[in-house]
Amino acid sequence: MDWFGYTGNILDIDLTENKVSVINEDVRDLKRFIGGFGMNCKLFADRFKPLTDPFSSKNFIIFGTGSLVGTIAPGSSRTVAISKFPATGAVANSCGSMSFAFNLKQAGFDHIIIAGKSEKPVYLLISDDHIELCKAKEIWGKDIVNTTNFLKKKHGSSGVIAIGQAGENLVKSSMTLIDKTSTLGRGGLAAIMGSKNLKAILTQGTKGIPIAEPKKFNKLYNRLIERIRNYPHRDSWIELGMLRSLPVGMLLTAKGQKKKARQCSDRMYLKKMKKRRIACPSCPMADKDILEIREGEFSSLITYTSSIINPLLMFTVDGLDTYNQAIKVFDLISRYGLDSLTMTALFEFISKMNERDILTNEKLGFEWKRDYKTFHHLIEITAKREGFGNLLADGWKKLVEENKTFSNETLTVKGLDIIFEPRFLRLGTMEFEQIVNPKGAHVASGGSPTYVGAGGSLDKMKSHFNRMGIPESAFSRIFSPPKKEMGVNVGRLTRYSEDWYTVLTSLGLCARAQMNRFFSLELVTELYNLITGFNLHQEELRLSAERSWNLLKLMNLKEGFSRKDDKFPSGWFKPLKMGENVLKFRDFYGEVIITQDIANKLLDDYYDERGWDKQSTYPTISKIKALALEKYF
Amino acid sequence: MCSSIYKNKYSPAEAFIQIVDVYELIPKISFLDGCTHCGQCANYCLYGALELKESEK
Repeated sequence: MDWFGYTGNILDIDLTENKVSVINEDVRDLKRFIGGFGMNCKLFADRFKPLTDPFSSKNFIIFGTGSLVGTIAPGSSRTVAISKFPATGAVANSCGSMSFAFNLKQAGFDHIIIAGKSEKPVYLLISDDHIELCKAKEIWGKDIVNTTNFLKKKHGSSGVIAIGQAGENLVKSSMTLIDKTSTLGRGGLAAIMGSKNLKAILTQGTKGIPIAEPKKFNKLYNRLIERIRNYPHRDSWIELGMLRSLPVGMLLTAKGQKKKARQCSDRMYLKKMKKRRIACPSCPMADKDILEIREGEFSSLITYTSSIINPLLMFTVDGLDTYNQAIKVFDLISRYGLDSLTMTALFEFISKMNERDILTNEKLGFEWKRDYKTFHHLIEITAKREGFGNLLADGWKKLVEENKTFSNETLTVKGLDIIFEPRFLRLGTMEFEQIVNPKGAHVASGGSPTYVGAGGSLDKMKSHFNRMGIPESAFSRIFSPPKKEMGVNVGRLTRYSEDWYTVLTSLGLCARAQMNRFFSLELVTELYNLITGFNLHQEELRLSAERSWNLLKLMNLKEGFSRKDDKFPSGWFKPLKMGENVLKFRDFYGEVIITQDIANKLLDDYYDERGWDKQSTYPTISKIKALALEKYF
Repeated sequence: MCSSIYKNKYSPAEAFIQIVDVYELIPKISFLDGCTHCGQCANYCLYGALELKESEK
């Protein structure tokens, strides 16, 4: 058959047998499980044996591209990777961007299934029909930047997913980087690749993607791109990148650190850090950065980041005195392939435990100080598993096993440290989703009108609900929170945020607020149909997202997860001191203090809205039937 | 966009405008033989990086 949008091919790699084969996709599957997220779930569920060790050769990694990737649909470049992750033991999808998926699609493949374990280090080269497992002797032991540069120099323009030394050493908080910029695989994807002796994957494609209705698509594209061009804030997004979404200086000011706040103002960023803006293929909002330190210590250092917020958030840590130091430690973390959020959380945690003599210098094996040198050392020993770093490399779960008192001190969910702190940001869907996401504290699917700083009236929310495809019949439930003053029930709303973001991820569309604001369920369904030639109703697209999310949930129930794991960190119920301010865990509008009872009620409401049993969290029989998932139940 | 107009598919490799080292500090842009100077790449350039000018004699 003629394929449009999709390529119809799945690349099947067996590293143990050094074998490459191609599987043809079934159109019937693609109508039930859409693209990157959906088909990833289906392919994984069909192969994976529950309770397999993440580092076993029997674990799989499946990379998927969204259905619109490879075309010029705005912001369509996402890569999705599913596996069983070592930090949490959960089966989860992770997303990244840049040019990997674009090139994979152009080479003629929608997915790559990686099975087995190579005897010796290899990298996978996919150049159109030329598929080869190449020896990685020259790059094993190198950091991500050097590995990527080496491969691009050797093979030419391409998309590259690479791991650093942390992945090689099976550090459970390791991540991969795509094109040395976009993070992929929070929770240890790099370690899974490391366990398989797979250093990198390189894609380059020249085949092109035909689309079903080019004239109609171009008309729709022109209309959409004109809206984006005319967006009044677009210029400032392109100028400031992600700094526009969260002025880090504001956070530092709240902490009473005005001098540090001035160092990461918009002006300082533009004058002292920004080198060049970069965009993923097809992106009109270019919010990724090449940074350069221009003066002082580490002068001339150049580093890449998918968000300027990541290095600047490190600057909020007490102990890093200059933005140069923050960028330097961020660069080191990126090169080793570690998680900047986790390393920052670890630095804070150890500092506090050391100050309270719970983690003494003797236990740590070196003198702990809140300074740049210690942070640098922490990164080194974790990536290399040296001394105390060997314990840290095994993740938060292992750390808590070592000392039970830590469990009340860590801010983690299912073994992943939190990203969004609701005592500072209040309880929106992104904060809540960290609790219920099967992966642990992760927010790939939690965005909604309760985005950071979005605020807004309840009436204004309705237009966003319509855009996200939330049925009007659910509005009254979403506006019925446990306490009337809360206005919105984030438990119920999170279910629809997850579905909406699963649609975007499945199609490969950017989920960032500045891009997804232009999308609606109706519009993306139209894009999907014009590109693929399928004729799905928008409700079928939404239903496929719900089906994929439920399948992911089923896989994790088989791994032993249940309601006990959807646990709010106990620290959230205690006040947070920030400078002179004492912040409490409040609802999105700041009217109600969230107690454990209210938190439990929000969880009940979330499961109810999902159609899951409130105690076991299993989807009900009627939900399974409605989604035709009996095979996986 | 170039390949979509002339080849009826999205294939940067087949476009008459080629960008090399797109994520490096200084990307290189070149126009291949066959480019008709239609200017659509400049029209569609989302960042104003390409500009259509009258040729200077």
